[in-house]
Order: sequence, then structure tokens, then C-alpha cells
Amino acid sequence: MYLWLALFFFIIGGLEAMVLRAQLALPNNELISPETYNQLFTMHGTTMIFLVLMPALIGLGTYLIPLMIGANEMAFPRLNAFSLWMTFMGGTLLYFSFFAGGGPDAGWFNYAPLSENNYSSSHGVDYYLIGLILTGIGSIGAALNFVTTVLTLRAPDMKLNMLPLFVWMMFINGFLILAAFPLLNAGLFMMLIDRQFDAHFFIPSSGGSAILWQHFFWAFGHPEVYILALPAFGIISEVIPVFSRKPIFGYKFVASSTVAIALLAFGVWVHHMFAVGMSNTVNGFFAASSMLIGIPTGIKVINWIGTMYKGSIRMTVSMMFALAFLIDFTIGGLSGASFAIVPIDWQLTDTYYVVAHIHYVFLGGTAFGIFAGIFYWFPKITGRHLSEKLGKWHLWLFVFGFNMTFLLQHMLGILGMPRRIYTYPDLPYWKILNLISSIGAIFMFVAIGIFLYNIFITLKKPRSAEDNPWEAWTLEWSTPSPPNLKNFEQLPPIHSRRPLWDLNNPDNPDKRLN
Amino acid sequence: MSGMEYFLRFENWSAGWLLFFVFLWISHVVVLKSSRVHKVCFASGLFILYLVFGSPLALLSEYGLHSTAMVKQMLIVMVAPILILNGVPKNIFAGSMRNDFWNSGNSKKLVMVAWFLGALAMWGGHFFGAIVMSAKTGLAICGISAPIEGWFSAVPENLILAVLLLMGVLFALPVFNPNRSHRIGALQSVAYLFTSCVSCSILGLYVTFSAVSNATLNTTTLRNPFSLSSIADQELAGMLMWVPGCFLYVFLCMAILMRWYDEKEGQLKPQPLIMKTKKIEQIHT
Repeated sequence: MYLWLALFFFIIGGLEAMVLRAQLALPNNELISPETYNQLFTMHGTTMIFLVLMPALIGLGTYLIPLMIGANEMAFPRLNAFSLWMTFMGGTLLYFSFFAGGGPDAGWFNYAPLSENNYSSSHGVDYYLIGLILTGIGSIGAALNFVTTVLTLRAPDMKLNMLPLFVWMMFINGFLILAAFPLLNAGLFMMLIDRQFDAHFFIPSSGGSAILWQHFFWAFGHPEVYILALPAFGIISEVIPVFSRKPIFGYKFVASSTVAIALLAFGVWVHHMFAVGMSNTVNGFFAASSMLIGIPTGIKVINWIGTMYKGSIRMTVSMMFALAFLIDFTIGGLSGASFAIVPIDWQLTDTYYVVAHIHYVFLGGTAFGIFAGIFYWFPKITGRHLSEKLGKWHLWLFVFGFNMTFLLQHMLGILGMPRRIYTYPDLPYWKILNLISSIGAIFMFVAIGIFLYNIFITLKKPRSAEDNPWEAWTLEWSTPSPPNLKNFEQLPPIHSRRPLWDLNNPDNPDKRLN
Repeated sequence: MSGMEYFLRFENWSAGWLLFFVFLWISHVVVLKSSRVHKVCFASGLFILYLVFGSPLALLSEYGLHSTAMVKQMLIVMVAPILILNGVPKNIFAGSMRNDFWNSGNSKKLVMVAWFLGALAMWGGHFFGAIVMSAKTGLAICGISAPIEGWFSAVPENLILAVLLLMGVLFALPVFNPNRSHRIGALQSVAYLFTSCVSCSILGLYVTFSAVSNATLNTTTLRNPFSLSSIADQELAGMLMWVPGCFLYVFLCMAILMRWYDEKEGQLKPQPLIMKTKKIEQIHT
């Protein structure tokens, strides 16, 4: 249900993006009003992050964690349902704002004082605040469930240092969510009190601090980047070894760098605020720490490449999405590292360079990871294989369209085009770059249409998937496709991180870890 | 005088402290049967202590520089104890009385006490150090001002540092006990160190963003060797505790985890979390 919810909002968020790109396709365009534009870009960002990527990753985690650790259910099934419905309620409330005087229009980050009553007098921001509080509570519930499930319901022989990497990443992610979302919710509550009860937490004219909102938001917001990235890393760490026919290169480096990322994530948020006027001392330290956090991510990329090296690679759609992830996420990471350099940040902040960067991280990173995971686990979840032929159309059109849309936006940013502007004058190169960018969006739109069609026709087919169609090694592939209501009748012996490999290759088992 | 010139001046380096620490190291080499790693770690720990007690760094607090006080506090609470404990061979902690003490069933409480001692050394060291420095210089340090020439100014700084060192050693003991069997489990160690990282981050955050009093801003264009303004000094102090302080613990967490990933069950210390899963065994069977 999480996955269906994510798909539903993905369509809505995608349609919003298409309208935005249509508006920006030509200079001095007046397809929609400035007010509508502000509401659409706010809702697009909020939807994609809180109602698409988060539910999709939580959905995959909820379905797969019990299967991968040899458990029959999540630790708290009712909390699971509660988390889902809170997310649904949050999303519904957010969109209800359109029927109550207009959607929120202060950006997905909802900066104060723009979001305070003086500058946003409609109820859109209130719906934003309440909607995100609810989705935040849902996410915290889900995280609590993940952590408890991994700690208490693992198969008896499965030690923590034997967890599949996807589970390990979701486990660490659970702690990240538990630490980060309360910060956001605290800020959201404070702003709600500001707006509803005339408090002054974020109103400088009456003694509050607008910068305080940014601290709250980015102390959540930067870990949120990793909350969305780590599960995708986990998916890639499952997909690449299976389709390279090799165990992951350097398990302990991949796993421990995840912990490093999680721990460092809370020490770098100030790099989102280089432009607010902090001192050079503060900026200098956060520039250095932001550079450092790139190291564990870089380690992972090297590990994935090392896994493929001399492997017997099978180019399935899942694997191809994993490769696309590797390339595009690395580009996103490099543009992110450039923001750690303070003068570059000052020059490029609030330009389309930032838009390009965030899309390379969230779309080229997280979304490609989710696509890889869906193609990989779809046979297990539904008992049916998605069409590889349609999948390849989806992949190529999407990857081509994605790079066409967002690679050029780096240049737009360097040329000085600010983000969040309703329209723009016909300055040199702006028109052509924006037009190409909008055409790229059409390619992505068509690709998603093919993806939806692929799901639709596949679900109409009879179930034909084998238990372990990819010859994978983790526990979920020892169950029928789809698994029974009670996941496991009997567990295979677990002595290493690849129990099904050991089972099928008793003469050449992995290193025994228990 | 520039910062470089200040550090290069021979008279700013204490020969007495140098002789003392060299004597300690020779005693360590002669008396204890230690490996090369132990020797290097112990020497590194002593070198850090010399930087704190005998190098030009020791004298910088006379200029009312909060950042140098913070550097000394970090070195003595967070760095030197770990190196010294790693420089001590196992046999020195193998006495039966110490085993009884450690295995008395109060180990969880002892770990909690050790953690709080560490946090106290970070926070208390900062506040007490700021009060003493303020009493000596008459400046408001990180918003704290003490009456000049009050009794605080009579407290010897080296005594404070020695107490902080002791607290730092006690803090590091649960994770870096020379006798590995007395250390807490790997995952507990990560939690122990990470919560310490949170503690030092919050302290750093507090110091960085604390208001600098107008009086300090107006009265101090300090003639310190680095020409640091009061606000830059305070921000530097906070950032040092926040970023490198936290990163130190994160790197230690990583080192512990890297070893843990390759351990077999038998090599792991019994951990409550794993023991709990045995209850689930019945469900699976």
C-alpha cells in the first residue's frame, strides 16, 4: 500500500512538474499565473520528497525487511498500519489546501518569514505544516518498527554483522529518521504556534529569529538527504552483486561507511546556510566537514565498481538502472561537493545549479535506486516479471530525458538563472536551454507512461515467476513468489551473509560468521 | 609578533615538562613489557600532554584566548587518554582485585558513570575554564564573567587540567580498557562514543552561537599572537569542539565497527541485544 501510495503521488507530482516545465519552456510565458506557479513548485517538491520517495522506500523496507531477516512479520503490525495512514492523511491534507483557498507557496523548505502570516496569509502554509507533521509522525513510527524488527525478529542464526546490506541500510536509516524527523516536527509545531497563536519564534521584528527556522529545517533536511539515499544504496548493494555474480566487494566498508554517513549527516547542515551571513570561521569548518562526508559515499561507489570488476554482468533492466544510478548519483555528489566550497556556494546559491543538483541526488540517485529495486523484487512481490523490453524503453527514455532536463540546468545556474522564478526574460542561452530542458521532461513523462503500462499489463498476466529467478543469495528468495502470508515455513541454515549461496554451493561456502 | 614567531620562540617551550615526560616514557619502556604499538601510543599520548602542559599552547590562555583553552581541553579529555590507554599493556590491568571490581555486577552503572564523567569533563571543563580565565583576564569569556582577582584566579590551571585528564581516562576506560575482556561490546561502544559526539556537538553549538557581550567586543582588540577578535575566538572555540571533536568520535566508531564486521560469534562479547533474539527462536522453530 505504501508503494501504491507513492505511485499515486508520483503521478500527481510528475504532472505538477510537467506544468512547471511547460511554463518555463519559453521566456515571458504566461501559461499559468505567478501564484499558481509558486504553489505548484512548492507542492511538487513537498510531494516528491515526503509523499513519493519516503513512502516508496518505507514500503520496500516494510515488505522486504522481514523477508530478508527470516521473520514472518514486522515487530508492530498495527504501528505499521498507523504509519501508513498517517502518511496518507498528511498527503490528503496537503492537497486539501487547494480546496481551502490555495496550496502552500513558500517552497518545500517553507522559509521564515515568508511562511509567516504577514507574507502568506492564505491557509496553504497551515495545511503544509499539519500535513508534514502527520507524515513525520508516520515516518517516525515506521522507523521505530524497522529498528525493532531488525533487533528482535532476526532469524536466530543471523547476527547483526550478517545482515543483508539493504536491511543494514534501512536499520541505520531508522536511527536517522528517529533523530531527524523530531527536529522538523518541532520546527513545524513552532511555526504553527506562530501562525495560529501569534507567537514569535521565527519573526525577527518581534524578537524571533528567521534563521532559527533554517537551523531546524536543515538540521532535519541534510540528514533527510541521506534518509532518502541510504535505502537506495542498499538496493544497489543487493542488485549489483547478484547481476555481477560476485559477492559485494568490501562488505564492511560499504556497511561501516553507511554508519559514517549517518553520524556525519548531523554535523554538516550549516552548509545549506552559507548565504545567510555567518562568519568565515563557521563557514570554513562546515566547508571542511561537508567535504569529508563525501568520502564514505565515494567509498561506496568504489565498492560497487569493484563488485562489477571481472564479474559476469547480466544487463537486466534492474542492473541497468543500478548503473544509471552510479553515474548520475556521482554527478549529483560532485555538484554537491562543489557547494561545500563557500565562494562557489555564494555564487550559485538559489540558481538552477541547485535545482540540477537536488534532482541528480533525488531522481538520478534515489528514484533510479527505487526503479532498480522494483524491477529486481517485482517477481518476488507479485509472482510476475515486469516486461524487460518495456522496461528498457522506460529506462532509456527516462535516463535520456533526465539528463537532457537537468544536466543543462547546471549551465543555466552558472549563467545566473535564479530558481523559483515564474518566468524569465529572453537572455542569451536561457531560452534554448530551458526549451531543451522542457523537452527532456516530455521524454521522462513518456517513460513513466510506459512504466505504468508495464505494471498494468504485467499484473494482468498469470503468476509465473520462480522462487529465485535471479539466482540471488538472500533469504527472501527462499520463499515462494509471492511469499505466503506467513513468510517462512522453514528457514535455511544461516552461517554467512549469503545463505542461499551456501545452500547451493556446500563445497564452496562463504566465510562462516557464526 | 606573529603566531609562527610565537611558536618558534625557544623560551616558550618548557624544558622541565619535556624532561618529565621523557622520564615517564623511559620508565614505561623499561618497567613495562610492552609491544612497539604500545610504545608508540604511549609516546604519542605523552607528546599530546607535553603540548598541553609545556608547549607555547599552554601559555596562550594568558591572553584570554578561549579557543586555545578549548584545544587544550579537547586534547586532554578526548585524545590523550585514548592514546595512553592504548599504550598500556594488558598485564597491568590483569590483577585479581581489578577483575573483581569490574565484574562486580555494577559494570553497567560504572559505564554510565564513566560516560557522565566524560560529559562533565567536556561541559564542566568549558565552564570552569571560562570562569578561571575570566577571573584572570577580566574579560567575559563566552558570556561568562567572573570578578577579576577573585578566588577563581588562584586556582592553578595545571590542577584543572590534571583533573580533566583523570576524568578523560575514566571516560575512555569502558571502550579502550587495555584488557580487552573488560571492554564493552562493539555496538555498545559505538553508542557510547556517538552519544559523546552528540554531547560535544551540542557544547560546540552552544559556544559557537553564544552571544559575545558588547563589553568584550568594545574592550578587547586583544594583542594575542594570532590577532584573533573576541567573536572569532569564541566561534573558533565552539567549532573546534563541534566539528573535529565530533569527527574524532565518529572515526573511532568506524574503527570499532570495521573490526566488528569480521568477528565471529565466539569473538563477540555477549550482548544483550543478541541474547534477546533467543526468545524469538521459539517462534522460528
